[in-house]
Amino acid sequence: MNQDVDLKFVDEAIDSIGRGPESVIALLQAIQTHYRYLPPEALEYLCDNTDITPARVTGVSTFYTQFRHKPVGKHMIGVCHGTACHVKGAQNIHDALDRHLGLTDGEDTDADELFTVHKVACLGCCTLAPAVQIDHLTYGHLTPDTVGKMLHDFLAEGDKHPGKLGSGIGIDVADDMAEVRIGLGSCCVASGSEKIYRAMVDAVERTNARAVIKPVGCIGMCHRTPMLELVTPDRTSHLYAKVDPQDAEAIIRRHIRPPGMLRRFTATLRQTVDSLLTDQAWGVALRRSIDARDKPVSDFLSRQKHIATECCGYVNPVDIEEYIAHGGFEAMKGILAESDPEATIDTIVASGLRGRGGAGFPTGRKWREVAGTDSETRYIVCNGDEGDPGAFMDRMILESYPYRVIEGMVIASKTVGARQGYLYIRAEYPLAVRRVRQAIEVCMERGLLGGNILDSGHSLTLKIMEGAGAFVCGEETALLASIEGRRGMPALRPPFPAHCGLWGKPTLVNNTETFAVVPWIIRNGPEAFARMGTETSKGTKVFSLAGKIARGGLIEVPMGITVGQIVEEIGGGIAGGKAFKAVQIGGPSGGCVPASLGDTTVDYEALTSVGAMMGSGGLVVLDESDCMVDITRYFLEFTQDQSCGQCTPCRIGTRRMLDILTRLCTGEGRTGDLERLDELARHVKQSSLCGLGKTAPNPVLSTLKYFREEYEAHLEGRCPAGRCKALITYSITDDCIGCTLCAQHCPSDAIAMTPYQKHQIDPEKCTRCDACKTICPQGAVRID
Amino acid sequence: MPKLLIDNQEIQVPEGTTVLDAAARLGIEIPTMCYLPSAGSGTSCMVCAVAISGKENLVPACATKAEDGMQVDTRGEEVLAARRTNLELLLSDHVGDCIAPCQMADPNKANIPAVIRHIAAGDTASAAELLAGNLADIDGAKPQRACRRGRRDEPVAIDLLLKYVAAHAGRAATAQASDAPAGHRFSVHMGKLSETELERFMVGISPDPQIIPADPQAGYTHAEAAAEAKRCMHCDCRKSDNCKLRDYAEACGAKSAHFRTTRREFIQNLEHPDVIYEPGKCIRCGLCVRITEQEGEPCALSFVGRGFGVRVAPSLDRDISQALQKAAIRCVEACPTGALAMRSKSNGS
Repeated sequence: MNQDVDLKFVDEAIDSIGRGPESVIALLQAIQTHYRYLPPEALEYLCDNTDITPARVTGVSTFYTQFRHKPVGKHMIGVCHGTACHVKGAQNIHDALDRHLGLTDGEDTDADELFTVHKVACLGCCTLAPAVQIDHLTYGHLTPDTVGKMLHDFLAEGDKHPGKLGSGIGIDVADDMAEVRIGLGSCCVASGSEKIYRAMVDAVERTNARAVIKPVGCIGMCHRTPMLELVTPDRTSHLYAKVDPQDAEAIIRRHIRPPGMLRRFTATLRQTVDSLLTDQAWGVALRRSIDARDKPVSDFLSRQKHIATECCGYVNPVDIEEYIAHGGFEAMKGILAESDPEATIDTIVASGLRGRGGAGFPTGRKWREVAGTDSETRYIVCNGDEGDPGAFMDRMILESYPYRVIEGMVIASKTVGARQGYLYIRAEYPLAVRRVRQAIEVCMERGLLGGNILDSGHSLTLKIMEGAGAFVCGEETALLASIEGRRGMPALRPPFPAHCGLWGKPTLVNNTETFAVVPWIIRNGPEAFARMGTETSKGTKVFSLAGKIARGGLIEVPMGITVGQIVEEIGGGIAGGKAFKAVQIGGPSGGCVPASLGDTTVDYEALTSVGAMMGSGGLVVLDESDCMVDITRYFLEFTQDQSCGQCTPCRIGTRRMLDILTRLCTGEGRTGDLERLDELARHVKQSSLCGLGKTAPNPVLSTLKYFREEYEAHLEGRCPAGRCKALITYSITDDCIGCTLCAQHCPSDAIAMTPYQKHQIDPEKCTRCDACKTICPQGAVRID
Repeated sequence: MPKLLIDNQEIQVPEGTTVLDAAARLGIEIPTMCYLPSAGSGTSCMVCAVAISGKENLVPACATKAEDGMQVDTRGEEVLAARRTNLELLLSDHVGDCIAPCQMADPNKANIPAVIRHIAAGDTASAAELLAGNLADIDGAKPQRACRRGRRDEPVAIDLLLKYVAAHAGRAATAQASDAPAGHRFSVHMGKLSETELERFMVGISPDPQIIPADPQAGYTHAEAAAEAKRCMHCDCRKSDNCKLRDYAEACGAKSAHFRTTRREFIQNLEHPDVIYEPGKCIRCGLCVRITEQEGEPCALSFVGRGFGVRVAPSLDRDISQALQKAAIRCVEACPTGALAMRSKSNGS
């Protein structure tokens, strides 16, 4: 602990944020950003100098994952334990990190206080799984073997902070200029698109090409990131996938002629020299080039329908002019000019739009409830607290289409009569927070938000509330508690927030995606929206497609498409030729749809009927090497930690389910465990207080239903998929050529180096980290 | 004024009445642990869960408002099973004995932990009073074998301690009451009676009382006894006869061993001069958290953490004497288990 904590900062924070109890989360966030943890002295001082009680500070600061009460090392390593990372071996990565840093017995900081390792529920970079974040840098596609190299690289490179990106606002684009669009969503950035961006800016400067480099939102094709699209002045588009910064100049030269004869000459000369001295410059550009007409690309794109993600991949997220040029704020203007909220509600009802947060409550009905309340004050809240591991739709929408969400909120606020609103966004999504904040500022300047919007007489002030890391805050009553500066504990409904919400006032809470589709519905009419989808589920749904899939990414598909079509046609089936086993839909609240039920349609009722749930839209594809008991154990570990701890069935019931699942995965299952598990799952579902508890048993119930034989195998001490470490052994077959690679990479010295001879694994020393199997060029490592 | 049916009985209640209160008006008691009229509901224990027709899930009666036309079932099979499971879940995370193992093992079921606390405090008379039933034929061997301290190092020498009480508490007498069945002996000790008074009293009951003389020379000295007594881990629950969890578990047939699992560690916190805090017994109902807030405790109790790991503790890591400066009695009375209990003369603490 610091002997003398300089408390001046706390005063500054109080002055700028506020001293009321509702400010506690923001204050704690500021204090932690400044001191890198919450020093006890600062907390005492905070209580002494504000209206916030010690009980509030203690309750709140220990509820949210973000807050740390202990000093940390110089760098923070967040190991993603999202669903996609889990199935791709996140625990092995975590173990490898612990080994490299010499951490034992639950220690999280190394002896040199250089690194602190912590678990992250989901970084939302599911297509890069398994992923790790060190400070601002994200590393993807890791193996236990590359962890050491990653740490080394970080220490060599990581301290050089990348420069700030140009905001892209206000760049004048002349008609004869080419446009280079680079996806700068969080996952693109994680796979290196910032470097591409800078390389492109350099390349354009060097070649004097008449081109503008434009950051755009998520393109969705995360499996091919980093991507860029170059649009020549004649508006033809050229897509490049998996671009390397070295390719920048070659790509520019391929499409854009430098201006002026002399420059063209010098450029050609230099390029010739380049191609002589280095790689084939043209060749590189051609190799990275893909065509939207390429079959995989068109398969990925053609079945999609962009509504929430309209203008996907070609607008600059924070450029309001572009948003307006593509029809932005038209819907809002129409609604503001019209004085009949009832008509707007009728439109939304007619569209059949249902809440995109998962439960699927009809949006129009919710609006009508709030509009019909008898209250002077009403609030509107955008739920962007996407906590499901394996889901990143809200993040992408907020990062890529902040104006659209704001427009949807203005329309809704006018309709229900709310003048103040909040966007609740996870603090783990810094880019989303930054872009939305910027968008709000721009809207305020232009009179699109604030008092008397566009002279309509309607006013709306929007504030951002950064969530501090609690999955349960996705539940609306918990989210409202959090905005009020309390622990995110859900309340019994009724009363619903529509009647008694924020500070007891009627409050409209809708999901980010729900708000994002509203402007489209208003512009195109409810019929156009209702034409898509099924009887009870209309329009489109955004999913994040990840796991063992060939083409992962962010997709928006019409309702009614089948799960099988998503996996096979859009996702290109299973990567690596293994057999498709199941799709986990809806994260910890959802369930597993087995491959045999691939005809199940994307529809609220259809998914519920097979034991899954629309949820917020995480789709994690599993193959034959995934153990369903292990996956279920993984989700229960998540929910029992994320439960708010209020009601008995959820707090203790989920833990007791986890106990049983852990026993099964470690070969200690007892007779009757499956029956006990089933009984308990039904009990927790039936008698928990809020949605988290009511849905937490879904992973258990659906896997027990479809994969019971796997559970029975675990009772007998077998893991058919070969995943549960306690139930498997590694051995080397006669295919071994004695190359010694396994012995070199074994982190626990379980393989003696015997060149040109068959190697052997010592089962006592083996930690089942899978490093030998991953590295063996002969496929000679066997799991039994 | 909503009119509703509870277990097929009709009742009309004022707007805003909870199902729990409406049922109470009909004389139907729904067990509840996290609700008190003075401190509201924590919607936590879910022991008051009831079924409402048309609703898929059970709801907590303590927070569900009565609505017109509601049909409530408070004792159907499904409701009783859920109630029992919730109690069993609570019991599975409830550490500590209702009755100390030494007391369970004692043939006379004497409150041995309290006896030992009196010894530690040098109050042999009170100790003897508690042992009144068996001072004459003291046998501490069985309780000593059950002592939890034995798992850590050596069991508390209960046998010697009880003999010490018998020896130092003056004289004891046993008698066969003339109107009691044969073998139904009882004994008194004469801590406060003179020998003559004792004899007169015993003769009144039995023609043949046996007076056993005290032998202050035998066994432990005062200091030795006190020292040994201080090794006691006080496994007994100070609220064993005033515990809602125990009462409801018995009434609903909930078994603490239903969910077999590893238990948390038993911790006893004695920082407060008047209160014993045993966090392992806490069921996170939040009543004390709400009461300390109501009472304006400057360093109120708070929930710490979340999920299965959530616990109740004084805010800002203070000790519990600071958290319960004015609200101690209310909190102890409200606490549905032995997590918060008063130290008192009667239990020797």
